[in-house]
Amino acid sequence: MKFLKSAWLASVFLVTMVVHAPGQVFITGYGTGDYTSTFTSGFTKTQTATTLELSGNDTSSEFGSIATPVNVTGNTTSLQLRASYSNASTSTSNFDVELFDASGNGLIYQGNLNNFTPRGSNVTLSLVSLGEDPNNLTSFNGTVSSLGFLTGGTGLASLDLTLDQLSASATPEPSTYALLIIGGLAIVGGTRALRKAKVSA
Amino acid sequence: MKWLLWIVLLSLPVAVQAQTATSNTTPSGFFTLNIAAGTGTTSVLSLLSVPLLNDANVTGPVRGVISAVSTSTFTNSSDGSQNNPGWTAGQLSSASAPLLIRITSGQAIGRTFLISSSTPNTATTLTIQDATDLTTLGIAAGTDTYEILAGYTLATLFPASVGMQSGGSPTNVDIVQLFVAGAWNQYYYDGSHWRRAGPNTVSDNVVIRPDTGIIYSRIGNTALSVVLMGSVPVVNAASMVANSGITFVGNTWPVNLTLATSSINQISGWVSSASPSTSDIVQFLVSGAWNQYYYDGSHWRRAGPNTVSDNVAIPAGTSIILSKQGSTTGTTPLSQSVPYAASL
Repeated sequence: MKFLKSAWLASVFLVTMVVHAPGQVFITGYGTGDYTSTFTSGFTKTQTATTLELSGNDTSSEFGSIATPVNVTGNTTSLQLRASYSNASTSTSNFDVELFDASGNGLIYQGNLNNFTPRGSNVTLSLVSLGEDPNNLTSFNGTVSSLGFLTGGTGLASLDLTLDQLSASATPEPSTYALLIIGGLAIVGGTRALRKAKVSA
Repeated sequence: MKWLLWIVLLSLPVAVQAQTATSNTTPSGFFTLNIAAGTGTTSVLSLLSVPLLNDANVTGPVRGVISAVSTSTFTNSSDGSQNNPGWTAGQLSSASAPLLIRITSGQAIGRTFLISSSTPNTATTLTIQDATDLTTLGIAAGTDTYEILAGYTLATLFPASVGMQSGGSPTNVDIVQLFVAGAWNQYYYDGSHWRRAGPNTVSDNVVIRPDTGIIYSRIGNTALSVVLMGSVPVVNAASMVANSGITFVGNTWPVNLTLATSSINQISGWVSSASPSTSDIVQFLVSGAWNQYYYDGSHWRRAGPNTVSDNVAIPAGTSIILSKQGSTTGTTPLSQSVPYAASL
């Protein structure tokens, strides 16, 4: 009976862990069919079936819509951008990726171009949330329907970035870590109880 | 002798009125922002700033002593008197006519905050929209003073009468660029509203603060001008500069500064060195071209020829880009004393 009790306890914690585990929501790839450019300023674009290459100076910007709106509620703590940055002598400035709802209210995430290392190969950056766009008329409603890629340089440097895919996630919170630890201990306890039960038998 | 007494009595009110005007009125006037012509097919950039301030037209005090601060609120105690009747609830919290509160004395002198439009003010308390913790600024309650200013928006700074080249999309139109949340945002006028390029959201109420830098990209082939009316700033300024990366800041004074008088090299943490590649950089347009300058510890120098450039002007009504090295987060004030003789 003790074994069953421990096993049940472990199961409960495992289910709880799964429920609380950090989620990740795929938002889009940047290839044709995934992403349609609606406005570009300063960039030259080259879109393939799977990627979108942007080249220009570091005050340029790019906006577009995604094929299917994505609900990112609960997964807005950080944004993962997979991309390849070529040419080591390019801009090292910050850039923003902005998620827009259907009304144009945005959530802003920031990264730095210098963090795309090594150059020339796909790198996934975790972008930091800056929260709601100060331009917002109302709050972002949780569903992404379009995107913006905006640079924050001086205009004197160039960049060449090939965007691959974008996803949103919730970074594990302390309570989640606590549940993971408790769940782990429960499993250990359950296993020991199982061994004891076997020995007794 | 009786006629002499009459002359003295009649002239007394005039003298009192003149005295009152001298002691209570800040100098005011107008300032013209000049926007260079494009070619009709190619845009030309003008860097702009807003060097005059506007008093807020509100019921209640626009200047006074801060009686208390919390993380995000200022309190101005109302005593019910004519001099301090309190504010009208909600009057300071309009999105289309944004107001700012500026600290005018003490450690935080010059710090300016946008008054929240989403949390209406009460008769005695207003909430700021900025994410700054006011309790960390050394504001002395009961001692330090404030003034409330009217802020500009895209719609009020660039009304239709300015003559922007407009259109239904952000191509072949004049563009205004602002540096928002670390990146360049573009706006265009569609004939009725300012809209953000990209999401095309109505952006009439985007706030232009006194230290906001503005890039006007003019494609129309005539020059434009924007005439500002307002008060001359008479207290020290404090613009917040990012500790790493780009800050785009306007010259907040209606007079030219030079690099040497700008106090930029006195920003805490400003990196100076003998080489521009290892220095923080100031960048602005000179005769239509971007020039970069660095401080070598003794002099400002132009990157490239390395010529001493202490006396290079940062013209009134223009703006500059500050580019700081490293990856340190947060902001540090650029504190500037009033560059002319004046008092509040």
